[in-house]
Amino acid sequence: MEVWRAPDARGKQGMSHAMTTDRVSALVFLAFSIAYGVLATEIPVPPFMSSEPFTPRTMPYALSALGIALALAMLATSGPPRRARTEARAAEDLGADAEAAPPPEKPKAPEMRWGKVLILAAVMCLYGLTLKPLGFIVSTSLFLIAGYLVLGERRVWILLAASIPIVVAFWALLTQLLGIYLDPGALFSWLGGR
Amino acid sequence: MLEGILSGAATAFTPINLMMVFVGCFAGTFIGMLPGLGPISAIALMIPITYGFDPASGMILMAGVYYGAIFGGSTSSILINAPGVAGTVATAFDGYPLARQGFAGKALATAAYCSFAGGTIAAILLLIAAPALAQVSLSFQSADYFALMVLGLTAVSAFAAPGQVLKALIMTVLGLMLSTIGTDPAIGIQRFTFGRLDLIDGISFLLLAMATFALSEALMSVLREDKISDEARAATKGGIGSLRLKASEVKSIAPTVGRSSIIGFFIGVLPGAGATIASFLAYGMERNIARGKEREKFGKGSLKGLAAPETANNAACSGSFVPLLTLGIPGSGTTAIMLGALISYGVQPGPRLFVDAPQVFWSVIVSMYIGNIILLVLNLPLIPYIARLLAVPKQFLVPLILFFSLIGVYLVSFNTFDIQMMVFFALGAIVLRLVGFPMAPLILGFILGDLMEDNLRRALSISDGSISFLWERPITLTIMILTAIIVLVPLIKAIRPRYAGETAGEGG
Repeated sequence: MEVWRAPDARGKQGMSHAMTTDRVSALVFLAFSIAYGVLATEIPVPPFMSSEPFTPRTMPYALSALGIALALAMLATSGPPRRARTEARAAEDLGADAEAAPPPEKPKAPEMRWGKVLILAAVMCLYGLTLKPLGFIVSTSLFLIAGYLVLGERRVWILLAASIPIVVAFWALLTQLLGIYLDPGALFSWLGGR
Repeated sequence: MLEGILSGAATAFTPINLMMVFVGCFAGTFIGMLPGLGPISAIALMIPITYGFDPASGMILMAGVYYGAIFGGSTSSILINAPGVAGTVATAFDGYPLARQGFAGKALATAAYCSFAGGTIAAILLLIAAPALAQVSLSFQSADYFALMVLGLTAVSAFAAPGQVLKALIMTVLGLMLSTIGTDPAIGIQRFTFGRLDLIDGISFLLLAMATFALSEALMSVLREDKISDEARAATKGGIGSLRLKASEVKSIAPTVGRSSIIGFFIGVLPGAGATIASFLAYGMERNIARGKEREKFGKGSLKGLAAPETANNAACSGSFVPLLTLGIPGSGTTAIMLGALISYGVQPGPRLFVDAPQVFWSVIVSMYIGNIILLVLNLPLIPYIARLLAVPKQFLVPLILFFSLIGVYLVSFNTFDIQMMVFFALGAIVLRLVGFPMAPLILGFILGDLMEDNLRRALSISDGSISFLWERPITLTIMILTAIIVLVPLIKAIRPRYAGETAGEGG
């Protein structure tokens, strides 16, 4: 609570939180548009085209300019509006007596389970890396099991039952029915397969 | 025209295409019902399956998925107050209260009948409007196309939620920027590939669509843990009650259905405004028209309040096919995905589609109608069973959705770098969603990027490098003026309250 009532942050959380995210995103997009424009100058333009009105750089230049303009517009409009400022001041005044008043946004903010999302992202990347060496069936079964585990399933027989049969059925559908070739994987040949 | 309808019917009524509609509606209903997964994800998940198909069959399947997804969204709106799709948010206003009062079956049946009626009326309007517009648009030149795409892209942003107009515009530009990655379409020069072979062909639209929709929507549901499946289990356990409507009830909602279909269709035709806006407008209009007791019932379980958005969102879905099929310019994220799919089948939608591939054009229109019938006769009785699928625990659904998204993209390119790229875009999309940037404009910008550059190049070379092409022809000028109005009005509205000081919160 003490930290929360620090003098400069006092009472502004509600409105200005969104405002600052907007400003930050506008700044990020501004930087991105500038970088995009700078990279666009490196696009090679063949000599015969240099006098043409339209080169491979034209569209990127236009987009970069447009992006910069939009980012600046967003930066300009995302400052705290006067109304919010007066409200913030009013909230500050109130805050002086209302000791017990809970911070307006904090308790309501939904819990974000970033950990699980990031682990799932890592598992997906790993899946991409193992797909070729381990082959479709093994890597996909491992991927599904890992996914179920991350999301809280712990019963081993369910983990196996919900992955391997699905993967084998899907593999059969793809290779046998739809005639799509799937690389059996390095593991398969290493184990002595074809 | 009759000839066209007959040839379309002949294509649509082949057993394989009938099966497509059937599978599409069913798969769409299921995916649309999953909270968080909308029609864009549903269609994107279907695209890899349809690559080997005939374009007509592919489009028919996707049209079925689209309707199914909207209907599935209504089901979860009504049963558990968790709209799977933005277009069915308004459905929950009166649908959920009805379900709470024990009339879930009646609410679902009303939704199905209204979707059917809305879709049917709109399909008839489409039958008339599309060929007429296709005739007009045959005279369009590259300058007009360029202007139209500018109009489409700005309109999508302008109809975004209040306060989000700039964000939507930024996402559009970001989408256009991403589309420039890869080999330049005109002379084959590499742009923004950083010397990587994987980027020479650019980013595939399927990859971007899957990553920013299917993957990120599935991951978002993990990020914000919602207890949907428990609620769903409870909602479907005790049955859903009778599906029957009384004759007096049918009579009372009939005028609502008529009005909402027409509103829905025309809103759907407008670029940028889609099912969501149509459903809210129709709901608002019905509430304004209603008098006395009827009006008080709105929000507490009014059948009219349920009928209006349900009719309008389905009518808008049909309407949104008009610009796609006649101009080749999608007006919404969903139709943008379909455009991408059509291009990958080697079909270029636009006025020529009507001339060159009439069987695609007409069979899509006819199959929309079949889709509506299937939704009514098949999905409605099956709803209690489909709804049970909602109760499948998330720890199984999410990894499976992730798997189908990844493998769908991988099976097209067989390049595992694509998987890493999808994870990157999915995480980026989550962050952007959290700070309030909409994803549909990104996809739309990305898909129109190449077409836009191509038309701009042609228009510029015709006019010798001068941008006078933007106002020399009356059609182009009209479109540009419309664009200016569309972009300026919300911007002025967004900026003014800042200086006006006392203006109350955002209006509409």
